[in-house]
Amino acid sequence: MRLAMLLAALLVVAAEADAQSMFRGDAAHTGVFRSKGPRQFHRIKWKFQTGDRVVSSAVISDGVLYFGSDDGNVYAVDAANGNQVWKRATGGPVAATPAVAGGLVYVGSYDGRFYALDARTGATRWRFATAGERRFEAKHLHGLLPKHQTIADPFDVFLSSPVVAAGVVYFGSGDGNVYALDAATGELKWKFQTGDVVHASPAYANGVVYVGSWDSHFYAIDAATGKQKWRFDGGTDPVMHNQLGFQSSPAVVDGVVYTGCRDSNLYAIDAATGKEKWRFNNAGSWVITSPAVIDGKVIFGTSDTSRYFVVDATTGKELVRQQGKAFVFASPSVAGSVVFVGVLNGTLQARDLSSGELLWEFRTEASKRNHGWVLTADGAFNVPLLYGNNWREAPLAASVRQFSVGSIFSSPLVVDGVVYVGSADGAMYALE
Amino acid sequence: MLRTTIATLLCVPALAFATVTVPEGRWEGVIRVPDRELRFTADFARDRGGAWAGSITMPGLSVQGAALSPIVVSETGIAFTVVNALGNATHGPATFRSQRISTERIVGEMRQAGNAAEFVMQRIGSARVEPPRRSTRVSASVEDEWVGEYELGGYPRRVTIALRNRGDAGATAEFVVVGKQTTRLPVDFVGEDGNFVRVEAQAMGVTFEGRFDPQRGEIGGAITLGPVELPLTLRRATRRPS
Repeated sequence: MRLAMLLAALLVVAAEADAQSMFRGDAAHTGVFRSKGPRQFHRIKWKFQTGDRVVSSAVISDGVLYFGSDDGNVYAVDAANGNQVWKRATGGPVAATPAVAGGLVYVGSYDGRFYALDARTGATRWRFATAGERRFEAKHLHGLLPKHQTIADPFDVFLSSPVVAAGVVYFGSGDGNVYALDAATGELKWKFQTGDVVHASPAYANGVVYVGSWDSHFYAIDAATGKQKWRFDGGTDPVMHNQLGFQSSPAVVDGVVYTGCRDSNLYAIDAATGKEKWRFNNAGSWVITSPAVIDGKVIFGTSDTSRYFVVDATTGKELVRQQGKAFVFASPSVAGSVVFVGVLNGTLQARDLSSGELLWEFRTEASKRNHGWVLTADGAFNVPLLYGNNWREAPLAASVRQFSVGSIFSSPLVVDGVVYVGSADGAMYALE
Repeated sequence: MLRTTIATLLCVPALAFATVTVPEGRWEGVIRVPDRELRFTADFARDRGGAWAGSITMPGLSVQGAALSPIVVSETGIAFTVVNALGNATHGPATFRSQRISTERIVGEMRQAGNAAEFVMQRIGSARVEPPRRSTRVSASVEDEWVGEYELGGYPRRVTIALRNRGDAGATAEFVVVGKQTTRLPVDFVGEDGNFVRVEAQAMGVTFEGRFDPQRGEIGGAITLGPVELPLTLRRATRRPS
C-alpha cells in the first residue's frame, strides 16, 4: 500500500513536470500551473545573468530550468539555486521558449535552425535548417517614415516556441512555414506554408495543430498530415500594417480556441469548425499576450491600453478589468489563486485571480533606475522622451530604449511557489 | 581695513544676486537625466508691454521653438513652463525652476512626467525668441462648413471642418472627426496660402491640408494623423445658392 502510494505520488510529480516542460505549461497552452502562487513577495531567491535580454520563458524538467537568451545561448539552470548546469551556443538570439520531452530540449534560434539538445548535457542530438528567420516587415509599418521604406517590426520580439505531442515537434518560422518534425530524429514530416512570418507558438489538441500567422489568418492543421482543416481570417490594415497579424499564441480548452490578434481583438473560435464564437475588441490596442484559460475564464492583457482583462469563456463578456501602467506583451500565468503578468515597464505583477486586484509587484533594478526617463514617475512609458519623431531609425532606437528598463516579455513559470521569469535586463529571476 | 574687506566680501554675493534678475538672452543648457543628457537652447525676451516671452529647442526630441509660458521672473530666480511639448496627461507640462542664478549661469530643477533632474544653462548671446505662429484669414469662398470622409483600420470617419474669420485674429476652425466616437480637435492654426488651406491641431498631431477648387467647390487634399497621411476631399456641408 505504501509502495502504491509512493508510486502514485511519483506519477503525480512526473505528470506535473511534463506539464511544465513547454511554453504555457502544456500542449494546449492553458497557461495554468499546478503550483500555489505566492500571494506575497518575499525576496529574490536567485538571479541568473545572461548576456542579453531574456524574452524566452523558462520551462522545467527534473528540477532544471531551460530557457533561451538573446545572447544566443540556450541555458540549463538548477532551479533550486540558480547555478548553471550547461549552456549551448546557437548562431542567433534564442527568443523562443524551449520544450522538453523524452530527454531532449527543443528550441529554435534566429540563426534559422531548430535544435534538439540533450537535456542532461546540452549536446546537440540533431538540428534542422528552416529557410531562415526574419521579423515581420512592411512598408510604412506602424506609420513609420519614409512611407515607401520596408521596415522590420521592432515589436516582433518572440520566436515561435515548439509544442511536442505524440512524438512530433511542431513550430512556426519566420520563413512562413509551420513545421512538423520527428521528435527523435528531426526528420521533416510535413511543412505548412502560410502567407507571412509565423512567430506565434502552435498549440496542440486532439490531433490538430492551431496557430496564427502574420498573414492575419489563423490555421487549424491536421497534425498527422499537415493539411489545413480550416482557416479563420483576422483583420487587415493595408495602410500601416499595424492592425493585423497573429502574434499571440492560442490556448485550446473544451473545444474552443482562444487567441489574441494585432487587429485588437481577442477571439474565441470553435476548434472543430473555425467559426467565430465571440470577439472582445480593444479599440486599436494589440492583444499579443497568449490568453490563460481557467474555470471558464479567459485572462489576457493589452498593449497600448495597458489593461488586464478577465472575460467569460463562453460569452466573451467582461468580468474583470484593471488598468495597468504599461504595455503587456507577456502572457499571464495562473498558479492557485494568483495570476502573474509581466509588463514592459520592467515589472512583474501578481494579481488576485477573482478580482484582478494587484497583490504585489516586483520591479527590476533597470526599471527603478529609469535610464533616460523612459518611464514617468508612476511607471508608464514617457512618450515625449521616447518617440521624438517617426523618421528613419528614430522609432527603432526608441524601442530599444523602451525595453532598457528590464521589460518583461517572458511568460512566468510557477513551480513550488517560486516564480521564474526572464527580463530584458538579461536576467532570469527566481522570486518567492 | 580688515572690517571693510570682510564687509565688501560679504556684500559681493548679495550684489551679484541683485544684478541677476534679467534673464533676457539666449541660453544653452543641459538637463542631467540619469544616463542621458538632454541638451536645449532657451530664449527669453520682454515684449513691448514688458511681458516675458520665450521659446525652447531640444534637439533629438523634435522640440523646436516651443513656446515657454508662463515665464515667472523674480528677484530670486526664474521659472518657466514648456507649452505643447514634453507634457504628460497625469503630471502636466514640463517645468523649469531655478535654484541658483547668476548673470551668466542658472542651475535649477527640471520636472517632466513626475521625474526631476538638475539643469544647468549658460548665457551665450542675445535672445531670438521664436514668434508664435498666427492663423491667417481665409477667403470668403472658403469661409464655410466643410465635410468629408476617410477610412482608417477598416472604419469610416466623417470629418467636419467649419472655417470662420475672427477679425484681426485670423481664421479659426471647428475640426470634428466622428468614428466610433466623436473627437473635437483643438485647432491651433488655420492658414490659406494661395489656394491651399491648412488646419492644424498640433497637440493631437492632426493636420488637414488641401487645395480649394472653386469650380468643383471642393477642397481636395489629405488628412495627416501623426505619421499617417490619408486622402480627404471636403465638400460644402450645405449647397450655396448660385
